[in-house]
Amino acid sequence: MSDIMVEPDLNFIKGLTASGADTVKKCYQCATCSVVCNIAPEGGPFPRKEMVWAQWGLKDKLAADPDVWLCHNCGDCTKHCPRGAKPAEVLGALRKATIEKYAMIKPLAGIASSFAGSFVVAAIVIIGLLAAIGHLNVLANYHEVGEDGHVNIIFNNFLNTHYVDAVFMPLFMLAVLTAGYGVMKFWNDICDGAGLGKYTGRNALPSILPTLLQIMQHNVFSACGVNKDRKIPHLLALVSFILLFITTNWAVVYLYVLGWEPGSYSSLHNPLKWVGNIGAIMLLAGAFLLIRNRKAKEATQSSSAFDWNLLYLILLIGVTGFLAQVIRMAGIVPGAQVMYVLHLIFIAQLFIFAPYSKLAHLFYRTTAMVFAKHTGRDLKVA
Amino acid sequence: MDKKLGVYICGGCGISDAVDLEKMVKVAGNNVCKTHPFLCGKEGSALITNDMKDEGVNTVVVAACSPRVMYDVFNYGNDVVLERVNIREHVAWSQPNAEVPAPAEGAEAPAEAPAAVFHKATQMMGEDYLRMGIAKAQKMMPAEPLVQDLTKTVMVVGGGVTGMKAALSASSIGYRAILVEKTGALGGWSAKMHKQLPTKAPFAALEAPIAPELAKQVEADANIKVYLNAEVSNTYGAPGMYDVTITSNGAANEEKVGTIVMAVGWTPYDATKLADKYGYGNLANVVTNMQVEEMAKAGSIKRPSDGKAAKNVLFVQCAGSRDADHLPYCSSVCCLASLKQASYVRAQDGDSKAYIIYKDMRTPGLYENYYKAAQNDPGVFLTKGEITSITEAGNGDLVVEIANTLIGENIKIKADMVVLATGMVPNTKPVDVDSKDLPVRTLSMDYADQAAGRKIPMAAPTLNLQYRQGPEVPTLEYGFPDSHYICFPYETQRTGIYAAGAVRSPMGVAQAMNDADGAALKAVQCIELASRGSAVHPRALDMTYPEFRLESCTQCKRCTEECPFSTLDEDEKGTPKPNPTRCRRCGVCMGACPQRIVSFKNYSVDIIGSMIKAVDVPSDDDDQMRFICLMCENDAYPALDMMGINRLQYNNNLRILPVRCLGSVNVVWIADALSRGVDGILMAGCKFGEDYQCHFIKGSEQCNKRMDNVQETLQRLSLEKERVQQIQVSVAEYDKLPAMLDKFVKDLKAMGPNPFKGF
Repeated sequence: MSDIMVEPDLNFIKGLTASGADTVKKCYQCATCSVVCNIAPEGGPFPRKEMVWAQWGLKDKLAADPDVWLCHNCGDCTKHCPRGAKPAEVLGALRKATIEKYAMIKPLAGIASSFAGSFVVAAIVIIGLLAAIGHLNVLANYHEVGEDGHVNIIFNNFLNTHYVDAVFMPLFMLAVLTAGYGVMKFWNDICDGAGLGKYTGRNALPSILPTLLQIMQHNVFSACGVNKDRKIPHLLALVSFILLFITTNWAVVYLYVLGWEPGSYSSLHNPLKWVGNIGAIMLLAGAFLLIRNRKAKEATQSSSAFDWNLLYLILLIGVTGFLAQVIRMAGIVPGAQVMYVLHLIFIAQLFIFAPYSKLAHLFYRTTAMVFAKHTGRDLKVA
Repeated sequence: MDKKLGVYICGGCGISDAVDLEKMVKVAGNNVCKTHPFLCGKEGSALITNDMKDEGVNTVVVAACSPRVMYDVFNYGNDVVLERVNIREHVAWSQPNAEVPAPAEGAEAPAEAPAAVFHKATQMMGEDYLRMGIAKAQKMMPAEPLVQDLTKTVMVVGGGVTGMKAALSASSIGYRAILVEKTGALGGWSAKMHKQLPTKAPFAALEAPIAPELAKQVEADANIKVYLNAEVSNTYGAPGMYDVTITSNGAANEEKVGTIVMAVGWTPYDATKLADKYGYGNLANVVTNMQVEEMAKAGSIKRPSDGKAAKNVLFVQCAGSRDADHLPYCSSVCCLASLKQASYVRAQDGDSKAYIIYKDMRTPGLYENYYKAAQNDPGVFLTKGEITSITEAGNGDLVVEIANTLIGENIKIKADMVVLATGMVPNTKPVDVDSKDLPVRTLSMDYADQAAGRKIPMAAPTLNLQYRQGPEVPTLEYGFPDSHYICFPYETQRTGIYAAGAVRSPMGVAQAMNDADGAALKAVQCIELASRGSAVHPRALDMTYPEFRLESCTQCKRCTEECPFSTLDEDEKGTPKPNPTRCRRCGVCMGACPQRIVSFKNYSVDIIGSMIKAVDVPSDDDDQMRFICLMCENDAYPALDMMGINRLQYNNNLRILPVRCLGSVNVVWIADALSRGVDGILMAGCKFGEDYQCHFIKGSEQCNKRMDNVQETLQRLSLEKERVQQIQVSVAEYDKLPAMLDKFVKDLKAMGPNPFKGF
């Protein structure tokens, strides 16, 4: 092995320290963490080596390290660390650093760790949309009163669904593209780091499906020690995302394939609404339980703003979406509209910052797990 | 002295269940003999003291528990001869007790429960021990302590932190101290430091060096006399009566001192020997940790080549330490010193970086806290690793290649300066010998050296003792002047001379100050015990001392050569000149003397010989062959007590006879015992050789050496040489002792009885 010239980056270390890894320097390399980790693969297990790299500020090595993402933040290492170096938290901070490093639009990555900042960005987009169609007064009446006197609120009348789609489809594509950019750079770096060749070495297509199946099984979560009870809430959140993605596409089919009128499928009699509401309930339950779990473990396992932002955003999306529906059905016009706009802003926030917030783990961890399967360094599962 | 013997047998603690006390009483013959069920109680004690008062009993035999317990109860002062016979731990608790015999088969159950029957072999053993005790008591004489008016001044050699603290410590409890410092100022290495490692809880922050403060206190203390630019050019005498010549600024000063604390400190390992390995001397910017300390004290850490402030500094740990080619040991402070100096580097410039490349990070005890604190700095980088090369990269910059790192691969680091964390060499290290060539010294090596005409290395000149065995304290491993590092801290192999600080063991300031207190107290304890006529460690409170019947001396010099403590000097003819205050009362001289002229009031060739003769040797009983076990009082005997306490049994063919040290065993006992028909002799003592456990350093080894003589004796008697054996046992091995003893008995029984039996 050829020697590498080592030049620690002091600012990287200070950055880590500021973003939740304030304990990184405490590690004295006893490797208890790697021993107690239930999921680390046999060869070169994490997080012992990541701890020393982080202490030494070896940011390039860390960015190209799939193990940073193979870690599922179980927290067993933190529980057993004799020095209080909190490896789980350090790896969390390292993941944030990786997300920032591979961010395509760096200013957005900078804003991502501030909830207020990212909310403002999303709000500007949505309010811009409203302004463009002249609907800045969200309290104005856009409803119809039915023959029976029932107030029939159709959001399409207030804010045309086509306009909404015209904004959200590009936002979604932007998220997918920028995340894809980061993932490709990440993939190249971890392949280079492992010395994998251009063609066969990098062709990991056969590993993708097994990885997705493993993610759906969530069996890595079951292997966790102290954080075992996170499995169901996390799975709820993941499945709810999938259900809501299906719902959205279903609506797209109604609107643009079958040519239905916007709002014509918003009655609870439509199966689309069933799926959507099941997803929404799962989303609320998942977010609520995940937040409760984190709160309960605050004394032993610290969480950064980066962690909280995503959880609260998901919770807010669920709450605003659900309330918008309830208020709409109750016929309370201004409340329904305000709630709808808020809901849209939160979703926009989720989309715009998907590659830069903690949600990016969806892309990077999946990539790292594909890489692990591809290179035969499978995670241990329960 | 007209002796009147009183024998008192206790029946308590299960003794009366094991031996028939009535039969025991018969053993005492015509002497006053009484039994009591609770001899250590008020009534039992009164039984003895009343007899002393009313009957004139002045020689007391207490057959009860081990002499290692209840010594405060059975204590009648120096004027009364006291012998303790251990029939509790060594008989009642470790032999079969009386049993109710099983009814014969088919016999009707008796109306009354039958009486328990005493075990025959247990009874024989109890009676033998009592006979031995009585035989001993008849020969023992009361101790006559050598109470003397001695000089109680403590001389401390070395004016560093340890020396200053030791002098202050002695002075604080009312003893005059003389402090001898070779340089022109007090302070030692501590005075050269920029900062010192923490000395108080929580052991996390650096402190200003304490040397100036201690120096101030010493100068202000009227009870401490300081000699600067001084050395001890002559030390004549013995503890309590040393005449010392201190040469200071060229003038000789005579002082009378009682005891000596050696705080002569350490020297950094010679880095020029690391020229090949780390480029010291060849590369301008490779420096030692002491150089960094001096730079820091002078204001800033600059690299020597161009005076540029050092920004990237790499520390090489174990530079020459834990290295078979240099210092084979760990100095325990270099890791801490580098962590400390890393903080100097970091304090100099916020962007600076300090790298520490270690073998193992060793920060003993509470210094873990300092390690934690120092490590927490983002600019301090630590990894295990091996330095493979240090090369110049132009402009004086250095590139260090490191293999086997925790980073997972071999790395290169560019540094402005490389610091070698060198270890500590005790200033007692023999001159002209490399540390690596100074392995553990044992007696057998002394013999080998002498046989090969090699000179045994002596500690570097420090005290210039006028002692028979040489002018300095002997050193053990790597030139440290200890006697047994773990069991006897501060003790050297010369009574009354105590080592403290980094000369005793590599250590930092906090430990050195503790050490100073410890050694000062040991010195004071020595002088106080000696002035009362008592032995010091490890036989403290023993008031006897060896007496020499010089009219029979043949000047063979065995005693003066073999004494582990160089107690005996010689006159021109080679006659031993005793120095009781140097003596530790082990009796090695007694074991050595072919003329048997050495004796203690309560321990002599004759006394032990009489005890052996008191053992009943059955002549026609295959079950009861007779073996004598000469058992060292320091570890083996307590191990047997522990065995009894744990109710483990030992072979009843053995008779235990405690000795002060196996080194005191005189061959004549063995010859006498065997000619009386004793079937074999086992000597149980401490481990000898490397990592010895002997409380008198080489007593057990000496005994082993003397086995040559024993073999001769056996040959002369036409006996198998296996009839006399030596085993090594520590107090912790009590659970293994029964098997060790059993094996000896079984092997010898297989050999058949001693043919001299019955003659």
